[in-house]
Amino acid sequence: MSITSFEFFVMVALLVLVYYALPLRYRWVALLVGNGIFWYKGNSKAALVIMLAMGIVTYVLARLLEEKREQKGAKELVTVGVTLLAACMIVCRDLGFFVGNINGLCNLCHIPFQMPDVTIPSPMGISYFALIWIGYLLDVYWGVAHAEKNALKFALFCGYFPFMTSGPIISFRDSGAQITAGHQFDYEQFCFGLQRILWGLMKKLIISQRLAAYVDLVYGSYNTLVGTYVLLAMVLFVLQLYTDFSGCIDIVLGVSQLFGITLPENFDLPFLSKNLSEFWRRWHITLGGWLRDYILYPILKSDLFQTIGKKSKKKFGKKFGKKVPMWIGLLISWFLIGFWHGGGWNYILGDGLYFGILIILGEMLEPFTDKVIEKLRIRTETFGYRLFQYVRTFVLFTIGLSFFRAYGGFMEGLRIWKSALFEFSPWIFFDGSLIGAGLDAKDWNIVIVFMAVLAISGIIRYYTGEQIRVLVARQPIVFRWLLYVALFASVIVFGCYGIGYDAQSFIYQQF
Amino acid sequence: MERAEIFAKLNEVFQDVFDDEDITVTEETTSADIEDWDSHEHINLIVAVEKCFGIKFNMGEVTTMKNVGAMVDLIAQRI
Amino acid sequence: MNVRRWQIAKMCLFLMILCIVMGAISAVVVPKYLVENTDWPSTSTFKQFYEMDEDSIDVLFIGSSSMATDIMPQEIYDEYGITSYNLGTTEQNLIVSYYWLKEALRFQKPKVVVVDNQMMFTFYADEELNFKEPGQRKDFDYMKWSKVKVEAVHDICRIDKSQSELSYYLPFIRYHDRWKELVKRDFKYETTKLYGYAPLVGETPLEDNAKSEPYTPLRDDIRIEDAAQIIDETDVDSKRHELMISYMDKIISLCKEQGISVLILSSVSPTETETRHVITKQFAAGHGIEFLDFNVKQLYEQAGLDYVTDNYDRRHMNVEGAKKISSFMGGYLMEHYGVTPREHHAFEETKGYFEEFLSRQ
Repeated sequence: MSITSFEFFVMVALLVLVYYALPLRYRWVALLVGNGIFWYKGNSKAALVIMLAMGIVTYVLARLLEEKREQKGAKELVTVGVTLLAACMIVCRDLGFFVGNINGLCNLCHIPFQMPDVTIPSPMGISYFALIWIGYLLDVYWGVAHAEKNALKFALFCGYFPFMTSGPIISFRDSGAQITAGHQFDYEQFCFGLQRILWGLMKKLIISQRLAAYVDLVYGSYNTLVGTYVLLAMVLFVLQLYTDFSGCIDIVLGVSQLFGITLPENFDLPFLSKNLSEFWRRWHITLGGWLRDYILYPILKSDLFQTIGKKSKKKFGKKFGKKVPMWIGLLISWFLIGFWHGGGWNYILGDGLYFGILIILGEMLEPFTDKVIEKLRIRTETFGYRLFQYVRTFVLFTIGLSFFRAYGGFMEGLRIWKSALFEFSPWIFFDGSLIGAGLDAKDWNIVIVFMAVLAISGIIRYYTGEQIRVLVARQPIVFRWLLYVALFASVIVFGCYGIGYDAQSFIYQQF
Repeated sequence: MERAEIFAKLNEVFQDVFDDEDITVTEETTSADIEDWDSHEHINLIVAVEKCFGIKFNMGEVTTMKNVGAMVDLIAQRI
Repeated sequence: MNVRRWQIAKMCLFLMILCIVMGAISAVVVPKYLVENTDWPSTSTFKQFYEMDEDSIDVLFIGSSSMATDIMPQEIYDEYGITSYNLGTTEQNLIVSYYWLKEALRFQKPKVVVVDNQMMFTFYADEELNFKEPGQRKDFDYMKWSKVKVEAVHDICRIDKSQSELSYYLPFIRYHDRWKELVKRDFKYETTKLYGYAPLVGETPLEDNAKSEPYTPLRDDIRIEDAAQIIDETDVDSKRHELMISYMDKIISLCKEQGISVLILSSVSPTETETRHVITKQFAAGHGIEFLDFNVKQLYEQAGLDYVTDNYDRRHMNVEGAKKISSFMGGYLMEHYGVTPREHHAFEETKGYFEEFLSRQ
């Protein structure tokens, strides 16, 4: 069930009615029903069985860990649990990647062995819920959360339908109580939720789908549409991904708000980041947080890494030395981030190690760059310099994502770059070449107008520190309602949904 | 150990880890108040505190510590 | 409590505003096929039908494009005083014809219904509805909402799974992309220029005359008994379409239930083969109803048809041909079906308009 489908919103509307009709203590049951419907519609029977099996194991392990926490055997239990969940995720999602690489290696070494290419039915949202459940087990093991005794409430949190399509990656310790508790109807939150859903629909249906038309066209024919066409496609892909992903998150968070549940944010004006470190604290925030809490910190705190730290401090001096374990930890984290996005070298490199290496390089070269800034007397507090930083960050991010988009793999990513640098063709912006390249003139206008709306709302938020919907809520009712209705009308007129209208097919073809 | 004593010793650790003699931590001090105290340095700090007081934090405590006051609470429980 | 009531009131009011906005957007983006923008003004046909007085129509013509062009109700009225309406439109498949008949019977009590046989045969084998979805929407969007339309929408979407029922209730879902080509006509449109009634009475008058070879009508003695030898199974254009024929059955049953006479008609066109003729004849005989095929020599000559001058595009009749067929049908219905002439002011009022309209073409 797509979260932009009419079906989904009908389900949400009905759930809302049932939720608030129920007494406070039982409101969570309505959400559990929502979970059930969502799982049923989004999974094959086999995938459903896999997910339920994983869930039962997690539930049982968590309760055992709760009892055994400080005792012997706890460490083994949690290791088994985490490994099992991670393995399920990898096997269901990325088996093809491993099979492909193993077979490739065998071919290279002339070993007569080929693994069969089997696909396992993959439960919907496994990339998200596997991480969430691993986090849950670890939280219980570390004592920062109590295992959920009620199996149904466990099912409610662990299979909470809003996060199944695109996250956010929530933690039981922060969001568990909220999700399983019943909430009073809060009119303001409810309205904000509705507005947020509409805003997300605008981003997805009006902007993202249109950009996809151009990006898909160019990425599908980069041998003919070369040069600046490709560079533009790379840039627009970043915006397409942002509007698609953050639009989904808006819908998901908005839907949760209807039930009085506040999930953590996943985006915070990412394009106003001064460097890549900051960018990844503003883009897919919950993923970074999860990796930090459950991978990076445990690794860094481990005895192995402490030893590495001591040794490198001896070798490279205190200041530099203490960074070495951190950098190794970062490389591991970034490798995992890349791999999590997709079992493919284009993801691991382009969306993972590339950023890790750049961030580490940035830190390594910090004393050097500081000197350069001093020597050139660059004033870093100025708007001009900040703009340079924003653009630099954006460009670096775009390069990484250009590989992410190369669905044909890392080699295809390289070929696309070859095409991009083949010629410098800025005239395509002026001579009408772009009209008809996936989008006609009117569609380009719409995309530009709504991206401007998005940009302006971001800037307003940056300077006022407040969300647009909060600012609008303070306006007189007629003005507010005009804005909401305008947004609504825009989505239903300009949104890309439905069969689409092809004027030619309506003209009577007198066969 | 008295709370004040813990604070004094902790202060030394902070000054050492962040290489800054002027640091003074209070109950409400958070990572936002000290420039170099980011997620990277957090672990180094934690390990240094553990070494100094001869205690061990578990990972859950490491990630949910809200401010220095909370850190002191945890230390006080352990020694 | 007061605050809560005020909140609920606000939400209801806002919801109402959204509904109005959705309705307004739907009304604007639904395509309009009017006399100004097309030769085949199906929108006018249906909208004008609703403007006829109740119980003012004695003969109903339904079917696809051939029917739309062939019958001039004004001509029939002028010559014989018989009131009729031509609900034929392009690409009208028999499911749509059936439901339009049902809809028409809510307002009219015709004595005779005439259907053409074009849609009994396969046009697009890969389309559930025998024709493409846009064509069907054209013929259907302007039906008013009632139990009939609800039933029809459900039936159509059950058969053609690619369609969504919701897109009928909220047409903006289907047509919102038309924002790119909106013109004045979409915001303000008149189906009737000067008169309260239906100036075209459903007719699609086409003036042109395509150059063509002389036409050889079918022989008179095509008999049902020889069907096995006549029917050419390899002729893909003359293949029976079972779903469509099942709805033809329904049309005939509905008429019989209501005591309405029904007959099948076939217009002059090279597409009418002996195979088609004999299949239709069998079908009609099976129901005990008449089949008038203007492709057959006797009828062709009796009506005074001349394909060369009377065809519009080699498949449909132009105004000349329509006059002849209409004239013939008027007389035939009067003589064999007992339809009596009567004066009706609607048809009186549209006389002048029709003449003027034709002279302007």
